[in-house]
Amino acid sequence: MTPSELLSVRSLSIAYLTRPPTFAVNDVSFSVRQNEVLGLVGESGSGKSTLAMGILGHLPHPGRILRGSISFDGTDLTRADGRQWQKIRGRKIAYVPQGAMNALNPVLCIRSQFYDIIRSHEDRSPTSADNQRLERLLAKVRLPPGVLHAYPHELSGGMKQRVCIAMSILLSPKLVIADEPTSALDVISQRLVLDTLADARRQLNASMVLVGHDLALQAQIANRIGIMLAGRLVEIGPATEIFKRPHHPYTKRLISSVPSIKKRTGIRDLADKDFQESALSPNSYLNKVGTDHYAMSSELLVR
Amino acid sequence: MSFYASSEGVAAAINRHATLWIGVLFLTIALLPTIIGPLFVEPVQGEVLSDIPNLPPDLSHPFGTQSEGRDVLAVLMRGTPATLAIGLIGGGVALVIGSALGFIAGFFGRRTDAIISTVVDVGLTIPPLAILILIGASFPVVSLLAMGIVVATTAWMSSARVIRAQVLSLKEREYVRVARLSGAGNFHIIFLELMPNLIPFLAANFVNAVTSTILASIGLEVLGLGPQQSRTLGSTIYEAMYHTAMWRGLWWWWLPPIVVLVLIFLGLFLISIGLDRYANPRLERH
Amino acid sequence: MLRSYVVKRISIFFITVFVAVTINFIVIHITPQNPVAVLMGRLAARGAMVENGAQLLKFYTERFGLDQPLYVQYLMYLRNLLLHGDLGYSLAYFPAKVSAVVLPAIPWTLGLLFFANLVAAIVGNILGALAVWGRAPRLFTWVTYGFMSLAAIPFYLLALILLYLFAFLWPVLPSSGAFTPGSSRAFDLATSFEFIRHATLPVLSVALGLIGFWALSMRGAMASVMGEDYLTYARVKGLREPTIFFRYGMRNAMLPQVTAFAIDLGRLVSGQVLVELIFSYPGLGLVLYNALRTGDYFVIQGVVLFIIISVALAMLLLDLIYPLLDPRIRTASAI
Repeated sequence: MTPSELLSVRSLSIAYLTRPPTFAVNDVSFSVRQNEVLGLVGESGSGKSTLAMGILGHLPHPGRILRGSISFDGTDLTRADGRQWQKIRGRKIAYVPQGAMNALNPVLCIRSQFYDIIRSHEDRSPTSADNQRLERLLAKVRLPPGVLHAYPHELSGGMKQRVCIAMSILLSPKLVIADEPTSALDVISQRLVLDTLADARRQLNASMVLVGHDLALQAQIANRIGIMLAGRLVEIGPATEIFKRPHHPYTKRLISSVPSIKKRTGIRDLADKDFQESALSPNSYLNKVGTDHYAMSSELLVR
Repeated sequence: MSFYASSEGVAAAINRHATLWIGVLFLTIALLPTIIGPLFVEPVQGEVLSDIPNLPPDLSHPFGTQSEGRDVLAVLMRGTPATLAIGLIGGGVALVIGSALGFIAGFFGRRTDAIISTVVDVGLTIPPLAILILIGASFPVVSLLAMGIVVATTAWMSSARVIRAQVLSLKEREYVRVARLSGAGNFHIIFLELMPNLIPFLAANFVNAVTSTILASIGLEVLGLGPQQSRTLGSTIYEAMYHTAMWRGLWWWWLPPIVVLVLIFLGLFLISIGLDRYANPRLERH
Repeated sequence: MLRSYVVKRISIFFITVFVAVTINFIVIHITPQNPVAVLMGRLAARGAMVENGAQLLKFYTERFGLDQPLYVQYLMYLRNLLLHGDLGYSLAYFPAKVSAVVLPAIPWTLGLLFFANLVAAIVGNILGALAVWGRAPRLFTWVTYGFMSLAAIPFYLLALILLYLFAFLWPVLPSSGAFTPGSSRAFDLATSFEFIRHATLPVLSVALGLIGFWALSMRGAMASVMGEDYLTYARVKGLREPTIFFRYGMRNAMLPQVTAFAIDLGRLVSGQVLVELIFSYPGLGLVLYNALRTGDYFVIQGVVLFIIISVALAMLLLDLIYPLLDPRIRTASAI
């Protein structure tokens, strides 16, 4: 793992131990660099959410990591113990959930839920200084301070989502994993949430893994995009490259079903676009097809 | 649900429903004295003064005799089916009334629902035993059938509530809407669409209703308000206490009915949980 | 809105009281004869006699209008009961009033209820929650299953078993009463100790079964909560285990628990009353039992009425507390 790599996933395989077992992620490798936004695109069932949860070490019940490694900031997450996770989750790696409908505790007010985070991670009771800190935080996600008094059921979907974003950036994480943060929202809220995410990320200089199924959206936002199909990473490369020179047939299909990228104006870039190429060791079945651009051979068509 | 057709085989299927089968086993054991008893004693020995009172257990009286001279095993032989019969009658009546009213309330809604729901709510607020004591103290309850019906009057309300909730939720499901849109009449919807999906709930409900009625009937009997003459398990316990059997060391009198009752309650409880899993598989994974 | 919910719960309370009171009245007037005379007749049949029977009859005829048309009787009955709290006279202890017989027993019953419930609720809820929480030791799960089985057995059967085990087989605890006969009943250590010894078995009989009830319903509630997004998200946020368990898990699981408790109150009180009679504990159970044996009908009515009204009141209180616990109800409409 090179110094500028923040997260490095190597040959990761995850399965759900049902009878028969379901292989959700199959030999996936990629990296995320400092200050970079990686988009993971795929349909439902492609394994992208499982991958995200795997990185967080929180696979739902019969899920298990079978093989591979996940290196983050010097630690192998596949072998981390409770105490290590306590330091990492919520603090160094943050998560923005998909439908914020139910992501907040219904019986506690928003302020209490923020305080819980502070207590758990900073090991102390919250003070009035924290209250101001929270108000500033909410301002960053364009929410009024009154939200702190409210209960989750009193907020709209978009507001809840922004509360979740605020929670994720509270402790200035290095990596934010956002799992379809806008899928459950209407278009206007979508834009607001994405703008908020962009601002937040930029202020933190954090990296982001943005999981989603909307390729057009990802194209506007991500530096690099990875395409997932049936548990495998079939193509990965810079966003513009993927669009200009898609290689794998599935990628081509995805692109052809997207309305013109140029029509989607108005969303500010989430990431800065100047990057240098770094030497990424290719995966066993990904072939190099351009600058920093890898794709799976189309003969190995996966169903 | 064809659980025998799964790849796991019959043994695994039984294991998954182990709770249910163990419950049935307990009930069977509870009935053991009744089934095997006739090999040792005659039912007529359950009458007063059929032998010397207060004899400890021996070969001719496997459970000894009590203070009225009745053979305890003979008493058990009569009492167990009697108690179960009360449970079945009461449970059945409660289920029928409760499901019918719950169904009507859920299905027809609005005014009917408001009336029935208020009645059920008030009924659920009043502790059953209280009303039963009042009834029992006012009119002597003698026959098993009367007992069953009396306890059913307080047991139907929780059935009604559960069934109503189920109907309300099922009413909004897609297939009911589809049936309605294709012009199916109420009758068709009730019997062909809703009922089949209610059956697991009705079964679980029946077991619960039986448990409630047996509980209520035993409660009454222990107070001396039920069928007399040691005809049920509860009245046997009442008489044992009335004659201070525990203080006189006559353990063979009060212990067997308690054991049988414990087995019955545990058995019903396990069956109820087993059926619950059937209707509600969510508890399995965590 | 919240208001309609509150109004609805209060009206149910009043309807319940009204229905109970009316049933009380109807039951005694089923026969067209003078009910008091009938009752005294029944007593006489058992070989008992009401002292000053004529006086009793006269009192009732005046106070309750027994020689008047039925609806007048009903109104007089309501007036006596609701305005004066007059439940009539005890037949067995005449000239003692029913209230004089019933009221002294109430603190004993309530005390027992309170302690048994407190112990059972705390232990049961924690056991039930831990049984579902994957990280609890296996021992907890088995202990919980044990308690849940105990919960299937009615309190009085448990009471009989406990009575035998601890008062006869291994006589460490007393078998009846609240005090040993002939004790000083002063506020000293010896008396307190005795008091606790006597209360142990009754409390235990109720508590052991209750623990199972709480554990079982907590297990169900917790299982639902475990599947909720906010719990997963709490983990992912890196919150500490105890915080997640108590503030995100139990706090939410408590809500259906309160509802379940309210529903079960009736059974609980009835069961306890029977436990009291087994231990001759001077609560309502004993009063009821004696009244049943002597045919003291008005006392029976008094006890039953008291039980119904107090259970209804408790349910009302719980219903009113619920919105305080669940913020969603505060803005949602009544179901």
